[in-house]
Amino acid sequence: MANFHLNSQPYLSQLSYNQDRDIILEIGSDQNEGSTEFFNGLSVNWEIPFYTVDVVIEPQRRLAHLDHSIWQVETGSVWTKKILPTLNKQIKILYLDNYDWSNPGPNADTIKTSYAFRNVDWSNLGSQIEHLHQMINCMPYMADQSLVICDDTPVVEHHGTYTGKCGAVVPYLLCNGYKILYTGNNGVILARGL
Amino acid sequence: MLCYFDSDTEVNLSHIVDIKQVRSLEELKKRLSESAFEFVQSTEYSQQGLYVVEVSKIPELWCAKTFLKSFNLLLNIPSRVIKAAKSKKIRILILSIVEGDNFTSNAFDGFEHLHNTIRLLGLPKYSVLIVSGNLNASQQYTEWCKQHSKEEYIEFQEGVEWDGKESHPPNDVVNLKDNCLPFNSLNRAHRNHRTEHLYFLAENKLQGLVSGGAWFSTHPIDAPIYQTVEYNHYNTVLTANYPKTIDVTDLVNQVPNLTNNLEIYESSQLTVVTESHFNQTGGLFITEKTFRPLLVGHPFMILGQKGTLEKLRSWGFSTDFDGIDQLYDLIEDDQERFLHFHRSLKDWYNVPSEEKKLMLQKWKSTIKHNFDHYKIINFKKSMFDCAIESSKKYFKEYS
Repeated sequence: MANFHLNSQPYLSQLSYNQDRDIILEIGSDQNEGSTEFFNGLSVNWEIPFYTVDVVIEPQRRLAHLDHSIWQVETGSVWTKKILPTLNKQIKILYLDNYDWSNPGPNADTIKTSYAFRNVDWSNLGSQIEHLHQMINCMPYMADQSLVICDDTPVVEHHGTYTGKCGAVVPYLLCNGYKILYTGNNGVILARGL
Repeated sequence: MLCYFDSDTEVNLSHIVDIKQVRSLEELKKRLSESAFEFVQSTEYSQQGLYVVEVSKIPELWCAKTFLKSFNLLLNIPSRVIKAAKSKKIRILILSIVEGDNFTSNAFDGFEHLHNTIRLLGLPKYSVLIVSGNLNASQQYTEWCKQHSKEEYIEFQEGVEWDGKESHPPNDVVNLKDNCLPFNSLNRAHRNHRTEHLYFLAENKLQGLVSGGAWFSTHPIDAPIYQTVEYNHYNTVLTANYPKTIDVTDLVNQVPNLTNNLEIYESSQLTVVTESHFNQTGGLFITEKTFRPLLVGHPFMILGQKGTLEKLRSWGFSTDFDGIDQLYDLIEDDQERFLHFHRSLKDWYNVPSEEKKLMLQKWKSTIKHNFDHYKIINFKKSMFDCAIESSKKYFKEYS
């Protein structure tokens, strides 16, 4: 089970949190890997709001006891376009792990079928486009000092590039002053101002 | 000491099925009430007190969310409790005594997960007290912190769940019959060291009152790791001699860990305890299997983790039965400890019967001491009294 978010722990304590302005944003709520409770805990500690966005309501029902989470049921790119600008907040920590990515095979077929129920024609390229949309929408609201955690984004060693969900997000972040802090365990963590 | 509960009817964190199922709130309060606890149902913490959560799973299942069935207990605690703990109004007491496994293994580092979670939540030093069935957890945590250059943030205390107190111990020491067998060895549940022990008994033709091997129908016989023996021979000896059942035959209506089958102790001269844990290096989990010979009044040897006898001595029991080599207890290497134990058992077995009777006479005062001492010791009360004392100190020192 992926719990890539745990790799961010060494960097979280290096950030300086502003309780009036900062938020933590998770796009793609917990799928039993513990990410939502992890960021919920962090938000309790620093007393900053934590928004968790997902297209389905199941995580909210399953994790209703997490009393510091602000649940949002919406597509990530839509929420970041319509709701995020109204909050008047800046994103301190952004965790991107939503629209599925898969190798071809039975798992991909299952994903395709489940997405079809929501009238979405699933593809890996679609995943990269959705994550990039979200990042473009979030960029104006990213704090000067901020952390972006990209799950399911492995490095292609022989090319020196990234693939997976945030394969397109990584170069976009690098163009916007972010630096790679951590690569491994099928993900990448970037930060600026740190 | 105040003990805070979120509800009048449910234990804290009852939304986690594995926590809700440990025991009811009523049962938990009954246990706690032997010590100086006052119970409060409140979600506001105006006075200092403990927020008690009990788990019954191994650390890997509650220290971190690393696979589907596991959970991170600390991250499930309500934010108001975390805030109160940060302001030193609340101390979090985790009771984890039903199991006694190590917090770390080759594949999992529970200390690291706990440590990181406490830092993530911003909890103060020692605001979390864990009472562990692994009686060496405190020492192991200290060593872990040294190894990883971390400051200690958690207090660990020892706790005993399976003390045998609910098994209705007899009022007097059992009287041995004239024609006793040299030992009893009751092995109900599957453990590889028990299988190897059964092999040793059969291969060396050590005849006693022995139960074991019932698990052969449900668990494959693994290759031995402590004894050098060809597998086919090992398997043949085991399947030819077991299963044997001389104690609990009705596992549906008789609860094995609550059953003191006194006739077995009256008909054998020595109890061979095969504890639940043998090879969890560095840890120590003691169950009712160890307490049974103490509570019925019987001499014993224990095939368990290193230091089991040493721990019993620290609690005031005597483990010295003159003529029995108990030095295996302090051997760290599992294989060496296993072999030394069995050499010692074989030596006892080969003592001429008249000499055995003389030895048993000499042991009477030790056996009586253990029998009486067991009646005095209240493991649960001591455990909660220690938690209260430590928490009083915490609130005084760190407030």
